[in-house]
This record gives sequence, structure tokens and C-alpha cells, in this order.
Amino acid sequence: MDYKVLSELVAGKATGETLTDKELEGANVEALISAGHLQEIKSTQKKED
Amino acid sequence: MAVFLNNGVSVTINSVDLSAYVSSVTVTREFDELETTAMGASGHSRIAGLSNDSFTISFFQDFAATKVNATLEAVLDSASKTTTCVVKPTSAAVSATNPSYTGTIFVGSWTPINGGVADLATVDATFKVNGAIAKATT
Repeated sequence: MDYKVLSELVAGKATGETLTDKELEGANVEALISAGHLQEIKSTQKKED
Repeated sequence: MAVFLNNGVSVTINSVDLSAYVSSVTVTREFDELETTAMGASGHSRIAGLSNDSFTISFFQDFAATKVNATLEAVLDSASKTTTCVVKPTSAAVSATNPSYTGTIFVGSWTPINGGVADLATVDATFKVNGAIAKATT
């Protein structure tokens, strides 16, 4: 899962940048999303005909 | 590194840099002391028990989105109530003279409103560490 950074306080990342689960190891992702720091990036898969 | 002014301490909780909202921070590394003094001893003797580390931090309270209260209360409200806390003497890269102290903290309490009519809104919190604080110099 990847996450878009929404706030300016996320260490080492600017707003709009992306974080991965690996980079967030040890962090409480549930709380980061709840506090408005991160937003899940939904993977979009193209439908095959 | 020589003696230095303590005004640049870096405090990151749950990957969020809250340094600009911190007025005081104390990193405590300690072990329980288990008394092993036996009959005939002329002084106390001890061995180390379990580690009992903690971070004590004074925050300037801010209820705005993504600031102090939102960041910490979200951990308190989460299922695990745990996250990572990293404290360094300065925001510079980790080195022998700028070591990092990292621990998994349990946010079991939080006092969002604290103080009297003439006081600045602050929060004083002590976060106990699960396991022990890890010091890194590289």
C-alpha cells in the first residue's frame, strides 16, 4: 500500500509526496490517516476486455 | 562537539516532526534495580532488572488539523496505541555527536486541556517505552 502525504509535518517528506508501507515501518498508519497526515492511494487496475 | 544550547532538539512522533511545538523533552533510559545485598555485606549491591525507558515531553497545544492534538490523540484512539518516537539533539543527520534515541511508545494517556485562566495551553506527557530505547550514531 502507498500513501499520499497531506500535511507539511511528515518527517522527510513534502506535501504530495508518496510513502510506502516499508518507509512507514514502526509508524501507526491508522493514526496518521485519522490525523489527516496521510491518504491511502487506491491502486487502479484497468479492466481487460 | 562542545557544550551547546539545547534549543534545536528534534522530536518526531509517528513520523511527524513536532519539534516546533515542543518546549522541553527528557529522554530517560533506566533499568529496574534489583537488590542483591546479602548478609555480611557492608554496602548495597544490585543487578539490573527490566528496562523502564520513557520520553517526557512538554508540548504547546494546537488543535488545528494535523498538529499536536490531532497527531497524538489519533494514536491514543488507535487500536494499538503505540508508535515510534525519535529524539535527537539537533535536526542534523544522525552521527556520533548527534545520536538518535528511538523507542516504541505506548500512548495510554493524553491531557488535551490543561491549565488555568492565565496559562499558555500546553500538554505535558510521559510516554513509556515498550522494550527499550535504541541509541544510534550512524
